[in-house]
Amino acid sequence: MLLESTNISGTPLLDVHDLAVNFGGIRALKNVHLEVKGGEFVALIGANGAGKTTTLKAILNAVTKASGEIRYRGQPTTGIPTHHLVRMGIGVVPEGRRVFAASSVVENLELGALERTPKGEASAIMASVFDLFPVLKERRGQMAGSLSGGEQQMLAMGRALMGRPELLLLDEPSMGLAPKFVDRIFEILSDLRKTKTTILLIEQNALMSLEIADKAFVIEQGRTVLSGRASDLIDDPKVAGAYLGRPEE
Amino acid sequence: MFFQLATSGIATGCAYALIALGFVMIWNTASVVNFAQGEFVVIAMFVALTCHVTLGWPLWLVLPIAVLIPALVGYATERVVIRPVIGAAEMTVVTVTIGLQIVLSDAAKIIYGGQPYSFPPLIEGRPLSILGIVVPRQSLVVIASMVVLAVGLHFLSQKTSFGKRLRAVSQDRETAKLMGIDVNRTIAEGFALSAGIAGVAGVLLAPIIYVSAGLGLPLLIKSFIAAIIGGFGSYIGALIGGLLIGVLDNLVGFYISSHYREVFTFLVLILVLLVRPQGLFPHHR
Repeated sequence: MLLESTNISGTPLLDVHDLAVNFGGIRALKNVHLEVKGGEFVALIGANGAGKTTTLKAILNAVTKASGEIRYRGQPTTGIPTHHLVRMGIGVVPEGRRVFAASSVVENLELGALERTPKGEASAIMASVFDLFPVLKERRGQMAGSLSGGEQQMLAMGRALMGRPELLLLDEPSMGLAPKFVDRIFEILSDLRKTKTTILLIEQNALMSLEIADKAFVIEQGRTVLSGRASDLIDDPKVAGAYLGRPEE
Repeated sequence: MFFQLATSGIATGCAYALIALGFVMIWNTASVVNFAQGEFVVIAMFVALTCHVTLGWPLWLVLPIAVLIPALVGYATERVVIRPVIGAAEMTVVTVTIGLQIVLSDAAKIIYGGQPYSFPPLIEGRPLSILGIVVPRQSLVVIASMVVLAVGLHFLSQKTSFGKRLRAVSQDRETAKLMGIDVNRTIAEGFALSAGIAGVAGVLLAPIIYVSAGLGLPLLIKSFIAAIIGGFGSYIGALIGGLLIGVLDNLVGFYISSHYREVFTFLVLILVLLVRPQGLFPHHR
C-alpha cells in the first residue's frame, strides 16, 4: 500500500557511475559508484565527511556534478530539477529531519502527498503511516516543531512515505537521537525492508545498517572503496577496523 | 471628532495594511525585501485612472483589470528581475528591488507627469451615520474589502494546494523541493498574488488620496514600518500595524499638524524598536 515496488530485473533503479563533485575548487567526490535495484535495501556507509550527503545531493541534482553519470530507472538524470526527481518517485528523508516546524503533523504529512499522491488516496496512505507510527496519530494536531527529535524523525519518514516513493533515500536518520529512538528507527527500517521497499540508507551507524541491509557501499574520502553483500562486509576485517569499532585482525 | 478621525484613519490604514501584507508575503516566500511593492499600488491606480476616467469604462470592468495588471507585472518581475538574484547576498537583492522601484516610478512619471489626479469615489451617496459617527461610504467599502480579502487569503493559505505550497516554501525552500514542490513557480505566483493585493490597495486608495506617480515610495515606507511594528513576517502583525499607522496618521494630521505625520510614524517605529523590537506579533520561522 505504502510503496510502489517495481522490480525491473537487470536494470538498476538507481545507478551512480564514477561520480565526481567539486566544491569551490576542492574535489569533494572523486569516483563514487553505487547501484540500487528494485526491492533492495542498500546502505551507504562511511565516516563523517566521507561524502555521503554530497552523494545524496548529487543524486537529487542539488549539487552539480563535475563528471560521471547518474541514472534513475535507466534514464540519465542530468538537468532534471530536484522537485521533478521527487515527482518521478524519489522520496527523501533529509538530514536533520527538516520538518515544517510551524505546520501541524497532519499538514506535514499532507505536504508529502501534495505533488505525488491523488487527493482521494492520501487519506488511506495517511492511515497506514499512522499504523506504522502510532505516535504521529496521537500528535496529529500538534505543531511539528513541538515534537521530540525522535518523533520529528518519524514524521520526516512518514512524510516521505506519503508520496508512495519508488525509491526512498534516508540521510542519517539516527543522527542526534537518543539510543531508544535509534533502536526504534532501525526497527521501522526493517519493517519497511519486509515490505520490499527500495531503500538507500545513508548512515554513520555502520553496524546497525549492515545488520539490516541487503547490500552496502563504503565510501572513504569521496570514493567508493568497498561494496558487496552486507552480511559479507560485516565480517570484513577492514570494515570491522574502520567502522565497527572492532580491531583489525 | 476623535472617532470621526479614527474611522477614516482605519480606512487608509486598511490600504496600508494590504500593502504591508503583500510586502511580508514576498519576504516570507522569497526572502526578498521588495522596495518596489509601492509601485504595484501606483500601477493599479493609473490603470484604474486611465480605464475609468480617460476611457470611461465602467467600474465593474475597471476594478478587476486594475488588480490583474499589477499581478501580471508582479509575476513578470519575479521571472525577469528577481529570479536571477534569489539566494544571492541580501544587499544584491535589495539593490535590485530598489532599482526596480526607481525604474517603475520614473516610468510612471514619464507617462503621467508629476501632477496629481483625482479619482471619483467607488460608491456614490451621502455619508452614513453609525452610532453618531459620520462615516463616508467609501470608508466602509475599504474596510469591508479588507475584511473580505483577509478572510479569503486565510482560506487560500489553509485550504488550497497553492496556499499549502506557499506556506511550505515560506518555511523551508530546500525541503519544499523534496516534497516535489516547484519552488520557483510558487515564488512567482506568490509575487503575482502579493502584487495583486497591492493592486486592491491601489484601487481602494485612489478615491481617498490624489493619484500621482511619486506615491509608491511613501506608501512603501508606511507599509514597511507597519510590517516592522506588527512583527516582521507576521501577516496579522502587518494588518494591525497598517491600521495603527493609518489611525495615527489621521489623528496627528488633525490635532498636531499634517506636516508632522511622518515624524510621528517614525517616532512610533523607534518606540516599538526600543521597547518591543520583535514587534507586536513576533514571527517565528
